[in-house]
Amino acid sequence: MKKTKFTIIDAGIIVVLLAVIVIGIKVLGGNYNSGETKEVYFTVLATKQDAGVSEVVKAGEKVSISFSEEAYATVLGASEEPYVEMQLNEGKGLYFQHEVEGKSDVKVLLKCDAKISDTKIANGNVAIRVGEEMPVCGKGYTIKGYVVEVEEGQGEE
Amino acid sequence: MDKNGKIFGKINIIDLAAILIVILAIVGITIRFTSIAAENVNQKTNFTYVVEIEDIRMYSVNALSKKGLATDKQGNVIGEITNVEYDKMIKQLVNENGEQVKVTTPLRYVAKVTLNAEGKDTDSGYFVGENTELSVGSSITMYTKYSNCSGKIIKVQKQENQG
Repeated sequence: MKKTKFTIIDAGIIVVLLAVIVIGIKVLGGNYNSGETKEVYFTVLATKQDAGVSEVVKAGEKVSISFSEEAYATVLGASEEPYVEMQLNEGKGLYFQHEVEGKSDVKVLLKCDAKISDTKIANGNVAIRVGEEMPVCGKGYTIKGYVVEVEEGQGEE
Repeated sequence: MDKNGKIFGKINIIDLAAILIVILAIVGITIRFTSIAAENVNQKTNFTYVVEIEDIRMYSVNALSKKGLATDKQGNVIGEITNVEYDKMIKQLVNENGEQVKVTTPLRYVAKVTLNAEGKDTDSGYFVGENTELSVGSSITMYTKYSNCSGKIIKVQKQENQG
């Protein structure tokens, strides 16, 4: 069998291919920045829930915070206050506010470890930002709300 | 080509084909990702622009007030927040007497967020990030470390040329 020679051309091709792969990953990979891991405290507000629902949310419970991703957090506490509906009366040019019987605004305080960069706080692929829609899924219940507060805790030792 | 399949006795035809493929790939990627640059005379330019975000709660105002970098959905930086101002959310409507009245929406605010960004001044417009056009009146969704929100660009100012 004829012996295969490794030429300078082959070496050049390998170098160019590696350069193309590196550039391709950099260009197509976006601004990936894993960031440092820290504990993050955040609050999910769910409006117009059935009154008393906060009682099923237990402090210390591990809950899922995404329907599609593997992301979990620990419940620190839950509270609720009467849901107040606002209605605009255009004829009078006034807003009317009234409490809706049997309905509450529920706030769930949670904590989890998250990767923190300059542009994002994320638990896995789940971004934790004010305004993000987020479920709190525990044993026997699911509350759908929005993140309304985010605070960074201490970094990992 | 000689009997060993080499051109001029040095370069293998397979090597030559591989080199051509690599060159084509590089050219293709360059054209794909710099098409705007190829068509227009680009200049890196600093922009200051203002995004108005209506009908938001104080939670969002507070999160925006932490400032920092803003990105598009893909994570490309579209600016840095330098100032956040907010006011009560006011709606104008005509009441039952036919009078125009201003009504303050309880617990809702309108925020004006000022951002600085390095972008491109092209023949087709001003761009920041990967391909976000800065155009007064257009909608923009921005993601910061602490918040996400959508608003309308109400002011765009080109700062200076950097050559």
